[in-house]
Amino acid sequence: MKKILIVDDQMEVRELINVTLRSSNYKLLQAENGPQALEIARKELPDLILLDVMMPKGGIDGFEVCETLKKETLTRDIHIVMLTAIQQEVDLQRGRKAGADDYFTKPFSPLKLLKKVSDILGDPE
Amino acid sequence: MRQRKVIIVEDEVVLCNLIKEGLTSLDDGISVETSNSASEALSIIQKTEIDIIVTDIRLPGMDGFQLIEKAKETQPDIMSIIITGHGDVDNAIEAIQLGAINFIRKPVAMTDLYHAIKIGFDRRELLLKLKDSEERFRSAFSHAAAGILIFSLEGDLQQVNQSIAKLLKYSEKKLLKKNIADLEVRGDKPGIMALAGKLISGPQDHVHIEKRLKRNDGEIIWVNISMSVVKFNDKPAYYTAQIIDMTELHDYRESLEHKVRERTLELNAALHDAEEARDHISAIQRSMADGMIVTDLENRILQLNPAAEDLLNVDAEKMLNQPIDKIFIDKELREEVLLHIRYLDVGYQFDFEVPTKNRKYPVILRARTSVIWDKNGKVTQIIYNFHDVSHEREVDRMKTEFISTAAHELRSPLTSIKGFSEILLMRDDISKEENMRFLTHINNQAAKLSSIINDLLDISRIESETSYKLEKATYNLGHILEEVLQPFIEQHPKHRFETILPKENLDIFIDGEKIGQVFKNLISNAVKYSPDGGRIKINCKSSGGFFNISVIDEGIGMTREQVSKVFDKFYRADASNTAIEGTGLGMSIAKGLIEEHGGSIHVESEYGKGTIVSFTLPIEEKTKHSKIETS
Repeated sequence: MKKILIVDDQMEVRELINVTLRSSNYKLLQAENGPQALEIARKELPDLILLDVMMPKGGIDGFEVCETLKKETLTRDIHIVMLTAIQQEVDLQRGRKAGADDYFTKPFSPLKLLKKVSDILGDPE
Repeated sequence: MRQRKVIIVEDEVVLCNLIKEGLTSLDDGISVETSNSASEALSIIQKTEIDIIVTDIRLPGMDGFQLIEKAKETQPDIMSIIITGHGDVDNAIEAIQLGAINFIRKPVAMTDLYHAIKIGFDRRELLLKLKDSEERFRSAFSHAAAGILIFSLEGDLQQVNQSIAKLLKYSEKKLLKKNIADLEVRGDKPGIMALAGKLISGPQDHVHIEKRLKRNDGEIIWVNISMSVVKFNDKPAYYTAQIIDMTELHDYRESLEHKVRERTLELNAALHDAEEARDHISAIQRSMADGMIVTDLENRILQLNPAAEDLLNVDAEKMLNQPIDKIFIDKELREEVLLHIRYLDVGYQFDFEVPTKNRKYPVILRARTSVIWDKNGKVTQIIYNFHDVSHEREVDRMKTEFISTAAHELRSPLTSIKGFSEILLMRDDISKEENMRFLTHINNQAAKLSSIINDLLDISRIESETSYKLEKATYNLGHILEEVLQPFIEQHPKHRFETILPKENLDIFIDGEKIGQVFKNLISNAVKYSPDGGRIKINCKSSGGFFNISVIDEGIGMTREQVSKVFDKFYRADASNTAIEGTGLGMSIAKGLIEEHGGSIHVESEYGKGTIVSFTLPIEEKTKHSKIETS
């Protein structure tokens, strides 16, 4: 079963993504801040991380999480999709620079998110 | 030498001839005429120049005296010697008084006579010489080109010559009746007599002055006077003055001087204008808020105004003659700029950064180029004008940040609203319980969205200042606080709310609704950031026409860095804590509203211990238009 790590500081957003993806056959993991995301990612080695950009708590934002994981041998192949409320050139650049594989803009349609995830991971087993 | 002539007049023929013979034998250089009567002698004298008459007094007809008198009418310089008989001594004395030079007694001793004649010759020669020199002097005096005046110690003119008479347009005779002072122009100082007086007392015996004299016809002329005092036996006798007409020279010099003065004035005026213009320009340069650098074509700094010194944080003196590289440190930028300069791109605009140590943000200056042309149309200098755009840049940056933060703040609740509503619409695997929870999420997030939008509107109203209008009236501060506090007390049983109000009148002239909002924002922060409950104290004191209000909590507090950002828009001290909601605009809005009321706000906090937010509000509105009281 493919593993997906959902990283967002807002509980509602994590629940939304959770509900969106739960009917498909993925294992869903959650983290509410940067350090937690790094910890879970290293331990669980998920296939995909849906990573929110803005996470003031813990002193590590989404870009830094992405950058860190992409540097580490163990985690560098994890597909990372940045979730961003800001569809701005600067953020897209920062995301690319951090090594993100893709991005997804908030607010989003759950259906479209589901499609994006299945495009990346293939049909859930 | 001319042969001297003597005439012997003696009625005794023998004696007459004897004397002739005697004299001729003594001196063959003497030509001797003889005559036996005065009348005959006179006719000879009238025809021939005679040096000396030697005559007997007693003669038939005209006597010797008469002869001498008559002879002098023809020949004034003729000498005479008298021959007298015994008892004629009185006559002899009379003769001498008449001008005879000597007398010889009869019988005539030839040697005595000869001697007397010799003396007569000498005397005559001297006289002639004197007369000649006198004549020469007189002639020189009267015909001299320079005017000459001789005047007494009292100033009365004693002698004048033709030139001065002509110059002053007087007749010589009339001029001699004048006093020197009559010739002066009244009021001219110093007067000639005053100067003349100094010659007597002073060390100098002559003086040269330029003076104006008045002509007989009233015309005034300029003259050069050389004056001296003539002394006899060390006593001043009279003055002489030589006068040269200077009118033409003076007029010429006057007009020359006038021209010089005029030109000097013109030059001074031009110089003054130039100086004024220069001062004006340099005053403008000095007072200009914009920095200005002037360089030559080799990009060397020629000038740097005080504003440039300030903006660039450099010393103008040290920068002079330095290459512009000292200013445009960034090589890439410099090359770009200098390329534009080379192609004389006038008005080329660029931004450059000034390295600073103490400032939070770099200083960015915006420069514009222009050039100075000389009169031949050649570019000689380059001017860089620049001003600080750091603030504009910072504002730009903050605007961008504000927009992205606002977008984020709006999109977060929208994500829930859009996402959950779509889930509820599309999915059939939602339990009743979930259904309820998702709707609650949607509802909460919609409320949050609406609150964010209200905050945004407030902040934009506060920021645009002009359009923001407080609706002030007299409110009771206690009532406002009570009204705001009530819902908090009800919703937060974990917190203890304490209010300390002064006993005196709590009336205050404010916009009640807005100050209510300030209380709400501050109390909600106090509640949010003390998640474990605790005491929240609202302390209100009045002093010096102000209310000082503090909201004190015992919550999680803030670090110094967090405190410094507390008034930044959208800043949330602990944004990730989902239990703590907010837009991050509350403090900015509170600050805006307090300041709008003429108060101030500040925050103290200790991490882990709690936070104190204090603000002041003026009790009475400052009267902007004082009423005119009528008595």
